Amino acid sequence: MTKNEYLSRLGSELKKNHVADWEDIAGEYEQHFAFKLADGFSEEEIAAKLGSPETIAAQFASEKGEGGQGSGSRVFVTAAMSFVALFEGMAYLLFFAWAVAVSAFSLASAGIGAALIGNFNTAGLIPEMPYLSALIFGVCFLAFAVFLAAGSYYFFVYAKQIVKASIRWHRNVTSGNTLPPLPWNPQFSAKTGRRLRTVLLWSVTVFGTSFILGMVVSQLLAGALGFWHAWNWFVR
Amino acid sequence: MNTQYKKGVLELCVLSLLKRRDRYGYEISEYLSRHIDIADGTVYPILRKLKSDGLVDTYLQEESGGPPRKYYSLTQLGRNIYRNDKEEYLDFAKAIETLLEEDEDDQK
Repeated sequence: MTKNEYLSRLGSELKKNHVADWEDIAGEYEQHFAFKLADGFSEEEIAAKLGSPETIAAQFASEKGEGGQGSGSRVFVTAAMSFVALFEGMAYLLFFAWAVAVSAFSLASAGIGAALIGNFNTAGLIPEMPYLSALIFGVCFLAFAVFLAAGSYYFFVYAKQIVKASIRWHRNVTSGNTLPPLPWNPQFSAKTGRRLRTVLLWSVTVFGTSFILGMVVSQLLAGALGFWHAWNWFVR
Repeated sequence: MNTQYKKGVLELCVLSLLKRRDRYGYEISEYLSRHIDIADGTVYPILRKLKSDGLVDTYLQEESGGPPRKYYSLTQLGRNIYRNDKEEYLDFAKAIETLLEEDEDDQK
């Protein structure tokens, strides 16, 4: 086995055994090779004398288990963690419910926007107004729907990441495994993050401008500041 | 020799080497594999365990013409445990020696 073969096999065995800072350990073996090579040994000889990467990795894996918690405290930890999980679960459920509520709100806004632009008024739910106003307010509602949709996507990803991080944390605490902890905030690729920011920024901008434009146009068309009075919106 | 059995004794040997002076990992591995029949690679897991148990500390030291070396040194806890374990081991070894020699007397 050459030096590189040995080191890469050792690295992958250490990872397989969930040994923390395996890179540090591999570095130590790399130095061992360097010293031995300087003394005139061949890479094959050195690798053979070191012992197989599987055996070495197993020794590192068994070291971390020793001096750990006894079975008594493990039972206690598991019980305590289940108790924590109960409350965590409720909080996460609430978070998911919030994300669902935001997406429902987004769908409702999209519906109103479409009805305004399409100029159909089911059961007289939408107050009367000239089509120009309806068009501008329709755009306004659609932009709001896009904003909420992007928001709910963000919340869903956030909630999912929290649950994943929490599961990893629970596993590490109860089983004594030392997998690296996962981040608790949503992880977007740079591209997705940029897109999400662009969508949010544009939807807010379109929402704001079309809202103000709609108000002004409606006031001009009605010839009154309170155009809703002129159009008898709140009179039954 | 049984590896599990050897491992406990090897820890003691490493502590003994470090009691005399600070050494880097390769030095310890070389010394032990010259005197005891073990695979060269087994010393590093032991050093790591001693460190995680707080018996030894590490520090990096620059060497002329090479990468910095990781030196190991005994902590106060390591010193105390070594003194204790050494005594225990020597008593144990003496007892075993006496016991094993008795069967030679029986054969006579």
